[in-house]
Amino acid sequence: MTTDIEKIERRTVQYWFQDGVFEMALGGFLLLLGLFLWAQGSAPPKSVWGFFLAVGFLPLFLLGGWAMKKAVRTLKQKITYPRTGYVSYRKPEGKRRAARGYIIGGMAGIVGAVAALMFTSKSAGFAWMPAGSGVAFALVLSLLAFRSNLIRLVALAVLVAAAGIVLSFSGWGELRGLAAFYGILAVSLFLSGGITFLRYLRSHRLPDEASR
Amino acid sequence: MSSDSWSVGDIDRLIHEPARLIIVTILNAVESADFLYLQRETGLTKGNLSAHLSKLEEAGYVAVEKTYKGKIPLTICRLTDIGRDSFRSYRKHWQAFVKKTQ
Repeated sequence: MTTDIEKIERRTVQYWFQDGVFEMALGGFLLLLGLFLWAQGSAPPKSVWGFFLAVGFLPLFLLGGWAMKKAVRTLKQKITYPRTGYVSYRKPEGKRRAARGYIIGGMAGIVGAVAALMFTSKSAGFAWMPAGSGVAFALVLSLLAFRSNLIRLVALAVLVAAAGIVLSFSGWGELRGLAAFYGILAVSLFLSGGITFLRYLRSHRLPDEASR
Repeated sequence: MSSDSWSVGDIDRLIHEPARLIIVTILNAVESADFLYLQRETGLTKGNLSAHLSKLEEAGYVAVEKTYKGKIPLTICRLTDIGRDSFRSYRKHWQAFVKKTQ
C-alpha cells in the first residue's frame, strides 16, 4: 500500500508535465536568454550598447520568468484543465518559500554579474560558463525526473550536460558559448515539450459539456 | 497515541477504504483538484466519486467548493487541515503496522 500511495503521489507530480506546456514555455524563455547573451557577446568590447545589455540581463530574467509563468497558466487553463482536470499545486511556505526566492534571485544575480564581468574582461581559454550551466541544468532536470519519474527528463539532463561541456571546449568563448548552450537547451525543451503536447492533444479530446 | 500502543483496530476506516484512500492521497499531494481530475485519476463513476466526497466532507476531511467557469460547473476539492493531519497519522501508523508484521 505504501508503494501505491507513492505511485499516486508521483502521478500527481507527473500531471504538471503531462501536456508539455511547461517545457515549451521554459524553452521559449531560455531562447530569449540565449539571444540576449548572443547579442551581448557580439557587442563591441566596452561599448555603451554592451554595457546596457549587461545591465539589462537581470530585468530580462525576471520579466521573462514572469511571462513564462503567465503563459503556462494561460495555456493550462485553456487547453489542459478542460480536458483532463484542474490541479493547483501546493506552494512552498515560510522558510522554503523564502529559500526558493533567494535561490532564483541569487542565480539571476550571479549569471548577470558573471556575464557583465566577462563582457568587460573577455577572458580567453576554457569557457567555464557553458559547462557550469550544463551541469547545473542537468542537476535540476535530474531532480525533476526523480520526483516525477519521467524518462524524457533524464534524457534531457544527459543531453544538456553534454552540450555544456562540448561548448566549453568549442572555443566560442564564455558569452557566445553560453548563448549557444541556452539555444540548444531551448530547442531541446521546445521539441520535447512540443512532441508531448501533440501526443497529449491526440489522446485527450475535449469532453462535450453534457459529459462533464 | 504512540505507534506501539496503536493496533489495526484503531485504523481510520474512513480513509482506509481504497477509493477514499486514493482521493485523500491525491488531495494531500496538491493544494486543490477539481472533480474531473479526481474522476480520471480514481476511475470512479460520477455517482461513486460524489458519494465518497460527501462522506469525506461530512467528516470534515475535505472541503468542496462549487463554482462556475463561464457556463461550465466547476467543483473544486481540497483537503482540510483536519483531513491532512488524519492522512498523515493514518500513513504513519499504517507504515509502522506493516513494518511490524513483516
